[in-house]
Amino acid sequence: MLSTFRFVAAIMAMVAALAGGGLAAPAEVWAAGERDVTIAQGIDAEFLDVQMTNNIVTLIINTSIYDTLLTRDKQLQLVPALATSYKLVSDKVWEVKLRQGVKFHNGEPFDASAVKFSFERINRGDFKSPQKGWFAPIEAVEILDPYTVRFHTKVPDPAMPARMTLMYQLAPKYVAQVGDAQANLKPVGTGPFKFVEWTKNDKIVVEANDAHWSGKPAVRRATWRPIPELGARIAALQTGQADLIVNVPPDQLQNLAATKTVRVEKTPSCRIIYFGIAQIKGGPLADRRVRQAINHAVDVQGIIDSVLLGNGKRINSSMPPNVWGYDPSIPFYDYNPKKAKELLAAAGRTNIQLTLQAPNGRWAMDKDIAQAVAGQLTENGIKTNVKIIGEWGSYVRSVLDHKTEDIFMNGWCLPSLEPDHWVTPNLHTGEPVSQYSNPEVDKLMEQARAEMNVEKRKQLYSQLLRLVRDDAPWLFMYSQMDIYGVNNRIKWTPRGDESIRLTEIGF
Amino acid sequence: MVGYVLRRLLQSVLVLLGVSVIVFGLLHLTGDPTRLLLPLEAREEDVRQLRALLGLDDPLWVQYLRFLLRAVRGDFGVSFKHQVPALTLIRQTLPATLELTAAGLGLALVVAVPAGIVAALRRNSLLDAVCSVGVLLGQAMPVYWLGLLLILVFAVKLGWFPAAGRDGPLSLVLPAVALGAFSMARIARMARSGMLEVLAQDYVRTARAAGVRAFVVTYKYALKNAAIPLVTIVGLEFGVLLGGAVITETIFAWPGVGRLAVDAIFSRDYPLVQAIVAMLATLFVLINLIMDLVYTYLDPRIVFVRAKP
Repeated sequence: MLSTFRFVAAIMAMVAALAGGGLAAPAEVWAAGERDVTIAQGIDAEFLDVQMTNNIVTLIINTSIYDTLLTRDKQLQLVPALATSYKLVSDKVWEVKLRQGVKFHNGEPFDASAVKFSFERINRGDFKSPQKGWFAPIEAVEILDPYTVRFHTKVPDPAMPARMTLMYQLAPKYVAQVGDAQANLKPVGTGPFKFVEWTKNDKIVVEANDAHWSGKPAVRRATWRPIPELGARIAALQTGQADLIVNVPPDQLQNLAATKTVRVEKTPSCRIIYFGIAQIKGGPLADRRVRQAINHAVDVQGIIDSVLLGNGKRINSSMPPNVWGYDPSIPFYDYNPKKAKELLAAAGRTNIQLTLQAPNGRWAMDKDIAQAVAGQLTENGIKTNVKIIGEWGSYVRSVLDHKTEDIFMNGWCLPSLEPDHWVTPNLHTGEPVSQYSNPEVDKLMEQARAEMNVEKRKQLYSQLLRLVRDDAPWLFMYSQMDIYGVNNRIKWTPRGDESIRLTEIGF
Repeated sequence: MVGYVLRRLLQSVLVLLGVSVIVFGLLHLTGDPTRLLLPLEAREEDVRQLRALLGLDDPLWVQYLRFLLRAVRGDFGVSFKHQVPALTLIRQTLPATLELTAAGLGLALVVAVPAGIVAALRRNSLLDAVCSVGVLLGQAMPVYWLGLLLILVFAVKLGWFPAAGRDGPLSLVLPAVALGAFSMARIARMARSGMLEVLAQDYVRTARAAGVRAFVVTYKYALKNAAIPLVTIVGLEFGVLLGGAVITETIFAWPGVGRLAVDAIFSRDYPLVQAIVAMLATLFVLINLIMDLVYTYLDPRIVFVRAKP
């Protein structure tokens, strides 16, 4: 039925084109569905009220409906969006010029009052936004004129531009009129796509907003589908039901290669995978030499090659290469069992027994990676048991309560791509995820996150990452490779921030 | 009869009350949901604030009574995760689950009952053997495995049906088959053994001896009597299918209440889990009540009397 319709529509399009101008290409006449795409991810959006979520999949979907003040291009560089420029007025004041002539999907104009409203809404006491922490350093928003605002921060905050990439703009009059609940069910933004429908756990449909300030999107209509089961997601791609699928595990690549209509796209992601060493537990783990020995006792590249089939990129310290602040000159730990044994002997810890915890199914091949790591540690003199905690809630609790086993697997990526967000939450004394404490590291982090001079800041991060590398609070592993399955009828390449921008899809 | 129904309804209320206590207790044993609702990097003060907002600071019995008092008024609270009334979410997803369950059960009955009868009538024939193997396979295949196999063969290789989602009647076929297979096997086995038992009864032999046509003997005398245990099974199977829908819905990306339940459990969404369990338990209890009433129609000798001490 559908294909008949498509066929008829295609014929009509051709006739229209011929009638219109002989050989001239049919400007904007496409067969029904020809410029539509379906994207399958593992879960549904939690909210279409973008300020209610910090979930990456939910943010990806919302980014088609809402714009932020700044955004990141394909190379993850900051570029203007609803803000056209920004400047530092003083250490704690940022002045931002807004784009003029932009309208929300309901016709409401976008201006400074929307920026103020959107910021203040997150901090409303009864509003359960998980984004409060993202903007905690911001004191207030001041309106200078309808297209100029000033952000006053509590402390000097070099991360403000990065924060602006997360400032999604909502329509103040619309939200006030329909209320929070309705704003979630019928979202209105300024984004390149307008909301059409949302059937919980089935699909979210959006259509092109031709009035968007960045121009008309090539995609006319997009459907976001949650397909939790990997096999079904791959089948949906192979049958043409989906045009783009996420989270293809390395061991399925061969299977996908057998289907001629699809291809694989991959890119190293901002998500790093590491094994935290619970230094705060004391005992042998408090000794830096033991932690260094752990790093020398594991053949990380070998594990990437054998378990992930090469789909991972080693990290030298606690930041991935695509985050500003990364320093490529910091050396990797070499795989050196002899050196590991020497370090253990020097520490007087030749006979230690550790337990390593890992989740199951949270990150690509997580359980297998954990087993490989434990196997190599054991082989090289550090007897290590593996404890798999399959239920994510329990896993998170063990980390946040600082009651992990000796070594715990973790993955990390925050949508801000702000360097501080890779180090402070994971390594600062007393932070929820951190099982590590080093006053020297703390001091450097605090300095770096307040340093307004870009060059100096970069140096501080380099110094910090080097110190972290040498003190070895983690077994440094790799940044994950994001692998997508793509139908050949669409032109698209992935981004390093895990996001999928509909505006980057062509045909 | 009316007295019986009333008594059964009262029992049902007690059952549901018991279910609510168990679910409430178990859920709260799994721990504090606030950690899962907030980002990993959230500070302790954010956690405390959210816990207070969600009413999780109160003693457990206060929380339970509050839940119960609201529940009797049909208010199951607002889902922690979705910030939408739990009942609204169930209303959105229950039709898809009922559609899938009904299709699975319908399919199971349509295939299994005739198969069971034929197998009984042609006992020890090739046909009977084929049915037995089918039953064995149906019961032995895990639903997730069968589901993926169906997708591979009928969606990827043959392209007859969509691989996932709920888009029209075609998309219902594969999930219904996957879900119905297990029940199909059980019902076929019950139909066969029930028929065999009845066919061996004296009155069947008598009817045959009296020259009643074979068709009438089979379908009028034997089948109606063999149907009574089947009705029990169908009532129970409905519950099994509602439970089985959890896995089937996940595999086929079917937007039903089962998937909602799994998500809710993993994110410790207390109000939503409680609402879903209460709703499924009510449904199950009601269906069994209806099945009991169907007995009286099938066998008027079954009457409901209070057991004499």
